[in-house]
Amino acid sequence: MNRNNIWSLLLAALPFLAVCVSVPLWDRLYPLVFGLPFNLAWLIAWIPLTSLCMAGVYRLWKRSTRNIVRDGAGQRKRDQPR
Amino acid sequence: MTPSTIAMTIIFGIILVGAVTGVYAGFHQRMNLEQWAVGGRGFGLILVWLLMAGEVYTTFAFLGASGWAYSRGGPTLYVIAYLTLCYVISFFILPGIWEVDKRYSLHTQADFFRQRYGSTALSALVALTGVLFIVPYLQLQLTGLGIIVQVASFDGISRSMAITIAFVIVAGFVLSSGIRAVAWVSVLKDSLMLIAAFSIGIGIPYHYFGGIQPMFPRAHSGKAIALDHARKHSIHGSHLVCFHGFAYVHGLLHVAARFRLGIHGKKRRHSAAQCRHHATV
Repeated sequence: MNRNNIWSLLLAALPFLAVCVSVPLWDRLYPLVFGLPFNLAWLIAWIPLTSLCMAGVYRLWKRSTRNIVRDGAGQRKRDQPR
Repeated sequence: MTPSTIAMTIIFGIILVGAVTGVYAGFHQRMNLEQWAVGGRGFGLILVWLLMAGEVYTTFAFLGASGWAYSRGGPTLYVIAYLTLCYVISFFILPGIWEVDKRYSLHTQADFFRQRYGSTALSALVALTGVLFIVPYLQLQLTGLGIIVQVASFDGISRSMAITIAFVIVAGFVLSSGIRAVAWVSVLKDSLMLIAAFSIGIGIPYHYFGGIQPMFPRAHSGKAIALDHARKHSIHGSHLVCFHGFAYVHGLLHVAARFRLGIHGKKRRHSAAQCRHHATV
């Protein structure tokens, strides 16, 4: 597992951190965002933010597999991520 | 025209367009098992995206989640969280499964388990679990569909009638056109869903409460809108949660199984046993 893979896994863990294990930190009504309670606005905001994270994960993942193909390390010569 | 006839016209219009789309989706395709079950593995990016987004919007999204949010409030927000997160997990699992499936021409989950572990008993167990747990899920979806049609048609179409019509049409176009029918009907459904979601999500707060913000205190005090008509017809909330729980556990089990496969399957994909199995297949 190279550095790109570790970074991509950390990036993929970010949405879990934001909406799953940190509930007491953002589960409140105020301040209202566009008239929505804060917790609802926070969760909705994390839908596009998760997509952003996954775009980053995809780029990192792709780069790491490309390096493997170029370096000829191992028998893997696939350009698909995983 | 009375409101009831207008509603009926719209409902039957949608049913007709859906059925025609479903049957037409399979035309110009030479049907074999590969085409029927997995669309020849040739779905484009946009169609896959629509399918993945569309499978989230079931009758549960319209009835279960919203009804539950109305009666219980905050905890329902988990729906937003878990639906977003499940695609993060899918990102790491599904491409690997797709690759294996393509290489060995697999069509179903059961096929995958047989290929991966070389055990027919395990694959039969997976198939059986799938069928068994899809039953309460289907019942939930069909009951929801029946309620929605009954309410929307001002009791013009009874619940069992709605379920029967829907089931016959779905079975018909799935039999004739396979997954392509499901995909293209889902495109139609998504467009309708988007219109409905936006008009309900923005229209109702502004029409009844004069904005999104004033809606929440009113909803909290339980005097939101006179929803007695809808309430009278809705099935009991705990039922819904229970069935959804069933389906959710089923999904979790499958995801867990897939995750295990994703991790270990890669390492041993080219193992001797696997190659031997491949040779015999």
